[in-house]
Amino acid sequence: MSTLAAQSTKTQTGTREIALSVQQLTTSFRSDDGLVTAISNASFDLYKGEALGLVGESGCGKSVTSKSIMRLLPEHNTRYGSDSKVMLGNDDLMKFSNRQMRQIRGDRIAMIFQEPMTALNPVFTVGWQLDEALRFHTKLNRAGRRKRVVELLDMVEIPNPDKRYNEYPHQLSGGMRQRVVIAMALACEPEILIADEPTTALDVTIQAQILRLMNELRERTGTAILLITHDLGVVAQTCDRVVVMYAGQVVEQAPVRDLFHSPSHPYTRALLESIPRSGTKEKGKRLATINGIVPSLLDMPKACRFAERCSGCQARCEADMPELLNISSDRSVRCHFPVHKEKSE
Amino acid sequence: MSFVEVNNLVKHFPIRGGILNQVTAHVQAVSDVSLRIEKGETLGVIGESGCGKSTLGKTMIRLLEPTSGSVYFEGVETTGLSHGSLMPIRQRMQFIFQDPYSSLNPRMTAAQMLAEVIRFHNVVPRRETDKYIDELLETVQLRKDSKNRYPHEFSGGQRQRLNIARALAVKPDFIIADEPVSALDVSVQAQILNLLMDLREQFGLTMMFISHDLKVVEHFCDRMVIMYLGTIVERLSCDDIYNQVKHPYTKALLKSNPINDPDDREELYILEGEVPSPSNPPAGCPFVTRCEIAEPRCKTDRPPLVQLGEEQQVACWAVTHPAQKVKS
Repeated sequence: MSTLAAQSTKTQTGTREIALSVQQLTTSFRSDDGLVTAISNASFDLYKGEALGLVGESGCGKSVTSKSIMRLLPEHNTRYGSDSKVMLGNDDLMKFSNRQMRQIRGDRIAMIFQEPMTALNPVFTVGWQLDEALRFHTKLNRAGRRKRVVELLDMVEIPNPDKRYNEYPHQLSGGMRQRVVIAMALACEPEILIADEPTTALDVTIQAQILRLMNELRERTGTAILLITHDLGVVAQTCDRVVVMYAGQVVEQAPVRDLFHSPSHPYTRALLESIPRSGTKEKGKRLATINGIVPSLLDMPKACRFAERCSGCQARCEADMPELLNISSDRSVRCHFPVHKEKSE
Repeated sequence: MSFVEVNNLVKHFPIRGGILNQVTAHVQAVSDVSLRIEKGETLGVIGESGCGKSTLGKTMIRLLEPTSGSVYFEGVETTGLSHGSLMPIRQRMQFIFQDPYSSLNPRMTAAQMLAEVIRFHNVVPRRETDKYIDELLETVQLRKDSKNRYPHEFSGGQRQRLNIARALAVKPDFIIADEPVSALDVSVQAQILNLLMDLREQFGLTMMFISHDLKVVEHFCDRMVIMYLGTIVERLSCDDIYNQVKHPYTKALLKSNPINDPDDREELYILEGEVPSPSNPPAGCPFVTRCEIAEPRCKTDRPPLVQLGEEQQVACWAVTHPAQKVKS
């Protein structure tokens, strides 16, 4: 077993200290068609040193969740629920002023975005952009900052960091740019790293390099990672626990092994079954699909949001909204009829 | 003769620069590719971005003019044909593009788009066009009322269905699908793949399926070729690829794909470095800069694609001509 897997077992059994707790997070946007609620009552905890996967398809609210945590959404048309809380230690980020948030962003919580080209400013050198974070958050002098930037570039395995310091983003390849973005996120040794689809724009061989890098950095610095992705393969390979979102709600929460071996929510099950599996004899057979499409945010059903597409839908599913309930100490699911059956091996 | 035959196809794009706008270099997008596709089979083309897989597809149906080499379609060489004589053959080859958003005209309704293709190629008599459009929409499982809707009114999956309907409208024999499911969510991806499998059986289509996703190709195709930096490095049958694979690049590709099983959490195989620039590829083997088993000869001589067994072809000196057997 690799060091990665060994480490994840350790975090599962060891003391679990909460790094970030998202409670009853509701985010709505004002639009021409009225108030659109993108996430409703999302709650989950991120423990220190763990990698938590936040999974779902486009439009399920996973990116809005991360941007709500960072309070990066435009203020003029975003409304958060009155009982929404994002607890970092004893502080509720929802109550912070913009000025206080600026102290947190990049220092205690850092973020990596999907598109490494747009996350970097094309008119400043890589070194300048890395330096900016240190200038703002630390008391280091110019020489000290320069030394630290070169160290950071070296840490993310960029060859010739001294030379790269003076280069512009367009002179770097996609993988190199994502390394710079990671270096920037780690500049102030944050407690929490939010990675929003960090490898989606990259090729598989480069993706493998970046995932390995993130894992190594997590081991070394103890940073908790919230990994937002649509790729279940990436989750299986890197995360300790998984939160599955559907249509703006958390529908299932489980340790990674349990989720893949005995998914409890019918949506999670269907999602796992719709991926072609490698090395099996199922080649050429029809894939399992989920019928229909995600309900519109403007016209969300009052009852279970997955009912319309669910193969096990019953009368109750179309009448009441299921609550997110614990089914064991570390698992919860939002379904009236969760699947308990263990997968037969 | 195979259904589709590509011989030594080369496509270079000039890079212009300087005040006189002179050609300063070439991007060697496709260099010396030969392949065969038999009737009724689906060939997968796998590779990372920039390896020339899309250019290969577009050059094969002459959306791009090849720099050199030839393409035969049912024994007829298409590379030298004039536009007029190419037209009847064009009708039999169709292309499905990657991005379901930009490949549809935002100012035309679904019915207008389909009608344009049908009338241009005279697929059915004029007064039967409407009926034929209904049939097509039904074939790709779109509702009849989608006829008068514009692309922005469709979801991503529905748009891709419309693209497929447009490709099928001219009753083709051969379809090149360029990353048809890459822009879609997994549950929608499964729907589109199932649809393509149904259509393939129903119309007896021959397909070339271009993708970067190994899992999808393994599931969907009969055989696959792996491209790296404009050349084919390996050709495989899609059954049991894990035991067959020989080329070090294909091996790396297989191992760097994250598997959906947290218990099988092996250290992801890391291929160091990055793909060299296609405007200045290595003189010998294109993979030499990242290869673990590279030898001196790999730097100077390009390995030929050698037939191994019935299905497989590999371009790697270490595999096809192990060092001890080489005589000077």
